[in-house]
Amino acid sequence: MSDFKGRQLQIVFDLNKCLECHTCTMADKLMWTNRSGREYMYWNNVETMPGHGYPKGWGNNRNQTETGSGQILGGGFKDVVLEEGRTDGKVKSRGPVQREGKDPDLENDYGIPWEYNYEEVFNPGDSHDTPGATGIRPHYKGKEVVPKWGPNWEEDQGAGEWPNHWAFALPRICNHCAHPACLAACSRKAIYKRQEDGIVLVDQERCRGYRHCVRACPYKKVYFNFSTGKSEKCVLCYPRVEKGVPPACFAQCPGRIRFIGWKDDKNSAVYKLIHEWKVALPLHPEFGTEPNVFYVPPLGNFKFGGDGEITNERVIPVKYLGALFGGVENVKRVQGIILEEREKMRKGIKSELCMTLIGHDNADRFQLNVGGVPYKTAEEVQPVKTQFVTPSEDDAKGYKGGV
Amino acid sequence: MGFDVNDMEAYLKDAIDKGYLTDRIMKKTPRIAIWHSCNNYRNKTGTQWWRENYLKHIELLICTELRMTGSAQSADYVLSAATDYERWDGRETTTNLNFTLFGQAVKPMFDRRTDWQIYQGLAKVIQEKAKARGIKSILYGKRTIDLDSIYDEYVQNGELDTDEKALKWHHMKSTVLGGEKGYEKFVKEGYVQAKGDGKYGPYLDDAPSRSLRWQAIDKMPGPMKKQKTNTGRFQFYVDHEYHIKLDQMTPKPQYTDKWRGGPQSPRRPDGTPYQLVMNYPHTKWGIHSSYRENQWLMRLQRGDVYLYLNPKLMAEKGIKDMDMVRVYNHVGEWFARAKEWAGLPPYVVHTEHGWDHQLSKNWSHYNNLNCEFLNPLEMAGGKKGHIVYTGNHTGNRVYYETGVDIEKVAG
Repeated sequence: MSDFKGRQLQIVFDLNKCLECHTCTMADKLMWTNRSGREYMYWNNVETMPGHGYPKGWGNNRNQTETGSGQILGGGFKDVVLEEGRTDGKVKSRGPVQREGKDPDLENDYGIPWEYNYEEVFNPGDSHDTPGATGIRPHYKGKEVVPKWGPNWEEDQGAGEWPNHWAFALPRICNHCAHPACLAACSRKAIYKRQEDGIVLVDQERCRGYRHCVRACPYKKVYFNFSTGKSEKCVLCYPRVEKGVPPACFAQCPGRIRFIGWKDDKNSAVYKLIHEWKVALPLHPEFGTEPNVFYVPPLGNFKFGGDGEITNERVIPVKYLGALFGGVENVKRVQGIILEEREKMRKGIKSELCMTLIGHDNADRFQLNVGGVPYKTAEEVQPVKTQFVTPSEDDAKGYKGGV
Repeated sequence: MGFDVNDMEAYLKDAIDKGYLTDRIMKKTPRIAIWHSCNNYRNKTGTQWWRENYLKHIELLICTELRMTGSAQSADYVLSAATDYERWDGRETTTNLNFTLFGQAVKPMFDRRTDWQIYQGLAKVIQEKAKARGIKSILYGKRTIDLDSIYDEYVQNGELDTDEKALKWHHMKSTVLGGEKGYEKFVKEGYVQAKGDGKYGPYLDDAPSRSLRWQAIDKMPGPMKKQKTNTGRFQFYVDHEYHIKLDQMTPKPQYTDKWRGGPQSPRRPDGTPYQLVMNYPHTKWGIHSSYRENQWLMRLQRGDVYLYLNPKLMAEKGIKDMDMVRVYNHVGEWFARAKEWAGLPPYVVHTEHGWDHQLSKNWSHYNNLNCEFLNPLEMAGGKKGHIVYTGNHTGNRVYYETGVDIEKVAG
């Protein structure tokens, strides 16, 4: 596969700002994956790190737990050589794609999309001790179940010991890689990378459901639809993006941690963060896929000493962050820059980096630049005729009083 | 805090004697109750005892609810209320400068009515019955309620007989929402910004609004009478006699393990301390019990009620992640699944609150474990500014008063 020559959208997630509220997850879930065999899929999910993540044990050579041991699902490229100090994800060389990863198990690795027998709350229970009605339980395919895994199974669990326990949130979507392992692994040539924006898609007409892509993606962001027998993945909300509207999970983020823009737009926030300040790092560049989602690594808070005093040592081990974001030295350098710039702001000197990271307005974070504006709202491109109609003007609003 | 049931009785008597609390709560038991959007079984401390004793007196229990909560399940009548998406209504919160419209995206499903319609309906029927029976008015405490004109009064002789009229009336009464012009914007755009003096600070065009600005930043008393404290400022040191007596003048750090084994350790009736203290603060997954059993949100958790436990404690008790755990003390029991969390001190067990009875094994609840039915600090009153409780509220529990033990059980 030759290098991607098309135009590329790039993305930054600032982990220092993530609230772990999962609004992104719900935005994605309700827009794309709440139906038609996708119920178990989370194209966007947020997981607590360190942990096994979602699906359980994603990664190559090591998983994302503190020690990296336990189940590892595999994928990515063999013999990847990185260039020291390089943070744009580009690799020096890579070997063949690894298709022999494990198929994640629906129940144990993804988690089944359980449901509840809500209607039970209307039925009386066995005993008429107050009030004696029946409760609701998780069910799957008509049977009561005890769930075994889910998209946020390890919420807040992390590692370390009280009071120096540590954890941070890692929101994940498809990385829309410049050198996708899923694309390299597909023997049907059903996966393609769009020249106009670099979005990686699965052609539903060509896909035969071999699942090489599922096994090859080291981030495990391709999912098999058991109903249609084909693979599916995050589409970066391309119908929105084409019209200048940021993807749903970006638009809905209350923490405003998400940035999107063009790699070739030197004025975009993403360009500044990734290529100028170099404070946004690729997740696992050693997988060799050249991901286009970049992360500002978290600083974390300070450790408590023996008498409850606050020390100067950070609670998140930089070694762990190094294992995620392409080496300890890169992470240390980023943390150093951010702390230095924050210090400037404290002294009343305006920091371009801090202002960019804060991203006050949507236009500061989204630069899709369609139609001469940085971004558009969904309402702009698909106008709603009337926003609100008073009950007295609308007969369809039903009951109006007159009791 | 170091008090027992006898102390509690003594506090209650003292509070009534001194007029801190009204004596009505002791004199008259309720007979008919209407619970409005209030999941009482879920939020009352000492739930099972409260429930048992309360229901002894209640002949008729009516519940206005959006959904079938644990509380609604035991009501004689459930008045099915329209949700926020189904009603033409507005919402303000004290800390936000916007008054926001619920634009009635869809009409109410089934036979749901908005709460305004529900109580209008009740008032109308009460008025009709009162007239038919020739009842004019009744005395309630110091108030007279005119039953034969209660509906006319409620809707102000037809002026407020629809949600739309009531909302506009409310809007126009406000001095900060901009009158007719503000209402126009409110209806058109879905919100209107308050301008002028709010409860906790001014709402200005050219500056961010800060909650508690007057008290915390300007060191001024709030403009509304009820916000006034002794100093006129936000009060951190409380010098009420009950607070002094119980050594609770300031908020205290509650996470230190220094107290363990000390005088504040929750104890069994035989005087020995419990191994664990139970904590259950606000949840991130709902607003109290609302949305707590929502399928989409539950899939982002463990699917079942869970209890955070320190891994060392789990090893000691032979409990594994997702095992069913019985949490118990001499007051009651509750069941939840274990979830390992190294961020927790080994002597604390922790769950996020808001779980409804329906979700727990045997219809049990974490509020079955509370030892403190009433919080003596909430019997405080008198001429101490804002520290006034009515007695007719849900007692806030005291964090380090709920001692528990745990064990692994089947399930």
